[in-house]
Amino acid sequence: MSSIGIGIIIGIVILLLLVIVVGYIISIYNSLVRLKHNIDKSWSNIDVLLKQRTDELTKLLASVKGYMEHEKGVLLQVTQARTAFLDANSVKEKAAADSSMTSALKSLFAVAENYPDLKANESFLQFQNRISAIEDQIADRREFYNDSTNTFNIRIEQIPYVFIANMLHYVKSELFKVDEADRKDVEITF
Amino acid sequence: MVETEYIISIIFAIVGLVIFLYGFKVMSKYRLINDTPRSKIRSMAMGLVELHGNVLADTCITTPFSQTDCVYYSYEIKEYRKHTSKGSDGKTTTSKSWDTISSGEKRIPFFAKDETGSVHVNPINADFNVDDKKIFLQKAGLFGMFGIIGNALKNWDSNNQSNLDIGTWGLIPVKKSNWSFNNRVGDRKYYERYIEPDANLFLLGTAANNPQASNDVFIHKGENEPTFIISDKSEKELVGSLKWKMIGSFVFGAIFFIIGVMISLSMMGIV
Repeated sequence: MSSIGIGIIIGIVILLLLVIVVGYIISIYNSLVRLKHNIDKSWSNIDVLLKQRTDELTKLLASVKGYMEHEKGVLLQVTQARTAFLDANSVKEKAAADSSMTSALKSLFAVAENYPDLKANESFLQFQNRISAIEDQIADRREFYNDSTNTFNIRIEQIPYVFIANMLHYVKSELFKVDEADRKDVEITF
Repeated sequence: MVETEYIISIIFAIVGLVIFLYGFKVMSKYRLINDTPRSKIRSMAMGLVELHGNVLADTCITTPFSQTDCVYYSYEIKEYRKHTSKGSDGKTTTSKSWDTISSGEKRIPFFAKDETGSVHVNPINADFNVDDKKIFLQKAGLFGMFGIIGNALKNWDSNNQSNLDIGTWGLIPVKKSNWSFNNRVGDRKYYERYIEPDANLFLLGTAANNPQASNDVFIHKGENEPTFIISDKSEKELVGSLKWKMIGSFVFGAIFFIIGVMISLSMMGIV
């Protein structure tokens, strides 16, 4: 084979390698952008459920008010948790509000044990079941959010992703941390 | 003759380029699977979701050769054939190869279940990633006839007319790893790929509200996100196979392309 032939082969190989490198860089860029959006999306998906739980809570409070007039402390705790959630903006604040809400709900359901009439109330049971189902979904989506965040946080520190992440000014995202005591779902005791 | 060689070189270059570019498609799929966290069915959101679980089937279909119950199957029949061609020097050359003579597939809707619940899956336009599960060999000639008669006697049941499918009686199950050297022209191989009920399930598709039933969510091929993968492999196996497919596409695509270009250039007298 002539030297021109060898030169052409080398030229084509270099060109194809360049195409692979450029394609690889583009795929890294797209991957990081996707991971970033995954976090935003998974957070929005939690937010939807947190709001849904707050709405259900309003209805629940209305249904228990007549029965639990002497349990102002518990009702106040739930109301405060709800207000804290509505005022929360960042992931950290919402995570804290979510923890308070979960523990307030636990107290409410525990105290409700002392009111047989309330225990027999259909709409109370319905709200309790609905809130419990939403709590399960929140726990799953929290796990999903943390998975997305963890993947992103690891990826932006790995080579070669770190170079593109620095160019995009990507920084670590916050995990949705929950207090150890609040890890358990709301128990249905009825 | 020169024109034929030109056409061959162009075909080589185009095929190489297509295989090479296909590598990028595989790369994007590889990244998408890696980047998408697993959702639980109970709490999955609308949009692209990755589910791990098992197949739950209300009804089943049966595979054509092994009669296995499944929700999806694809098959391929290959025959060992002799090819004769005349070279540019007028000499006749013969070669033998396994050629696909028939193939097909069938899929039905099913449910995906995990520890939190189940969801309806509409597999239309899904990209099934399933390995060969069963392979059968059907020998041609006298040996094949003995096989057919032997199996016919073994399977004979005068009360059950449904298993009178003579075409499948001479099928000898073979292992995937078995290489057959003593092939005869006319031998056939039957390949089956399928997903059985309760099989492990990896699913990457779009969750949406079922237009045919209110308050029902189903998984299908999305309009905005066309990725819809169904497999009985684990995520690790799937990602591993995609990685090798991607590397293979780049390497073989490049080789084909270079060969095509070199033949063309040599024809033009440049190299």
